[in-house]
Amino acid sequence: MNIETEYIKSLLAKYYAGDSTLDEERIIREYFSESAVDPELETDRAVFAAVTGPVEAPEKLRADIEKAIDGRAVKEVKCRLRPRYSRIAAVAAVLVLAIAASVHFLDSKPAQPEMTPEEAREHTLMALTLLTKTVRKGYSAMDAGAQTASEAITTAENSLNKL
Amino acid sequence: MKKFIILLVISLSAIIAHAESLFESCENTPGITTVYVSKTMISLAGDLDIGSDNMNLSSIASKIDGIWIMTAEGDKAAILRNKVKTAFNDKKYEKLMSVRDDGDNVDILMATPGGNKNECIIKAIAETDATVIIMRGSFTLQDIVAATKAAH
Repeated sequence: MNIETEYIKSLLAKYYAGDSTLDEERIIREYFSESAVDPELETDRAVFAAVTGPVEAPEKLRADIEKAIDGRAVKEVKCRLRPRYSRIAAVAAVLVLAIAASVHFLDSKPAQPEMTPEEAREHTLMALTLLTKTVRKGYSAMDAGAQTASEAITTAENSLNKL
Repeated sequence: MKKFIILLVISLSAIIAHAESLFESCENTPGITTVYVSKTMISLAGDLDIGSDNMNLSSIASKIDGIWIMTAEGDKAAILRNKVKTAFNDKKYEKLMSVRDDGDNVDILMATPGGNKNECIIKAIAETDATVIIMRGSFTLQDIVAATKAAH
């Protein structure tokens, strides 16, 4: 019985139990990489190589993974743009509200109160009467002033003539 | 971005406040009575003959687009007087007539905002009451004089 073979067998037992250390796995790997391996351990060698050796991924799997990565990248870009569009939409909504409010309040037409035609007549008459009476008062004052000036001139002329 | 939006809203609010006219200002002031008579209501008012003074105001009334009346009595008259002091200081308002009689002061101003429309302001200020009337329409000074002379 080969001492090395027995040692490798003990390491393999630990490996299969999941209790081997990294160094012990390295020893097993180095042993199986040699060409001279105990025939009893050929099966273990094949199992160990299948588990620990590099595995070539199928071409279809590689293509599927790359496609999934590309798709996720596009989704991420769209997600980044979406918050920006939300902010722009929020700003636009606030601007529209502000402009609508300003147009509403800047409208110079006052609210039409409840008014009967009689009340409208009364208010209109009041306004126009005040206007025309004031103008008439002004004309009367002008006439009175002209009359007074005329009388004053006549009196002055009479006084001068007497002299 | 948030600060920009807040600043924009505050600026727009300031613009809104500044644009408030005298009438709108008085509408929001307690104690001042405001009346607006539109062209439609004036036309519904019918014939405006006044029997006692024999004045025919129908001809000028048909040319009025709107009448804005603001009145106040007692303590509130002072508020209206203060508002009116600076409201028509713009160069576009020309004083047509000013009558002082027994404590009553009546000023008539006229302006031409444009578009063949005229604006006539009547300010009647007394010790215990104040009245401001704004009339806008296509009437002219000649229409006013004609309506006045019809009463002679």
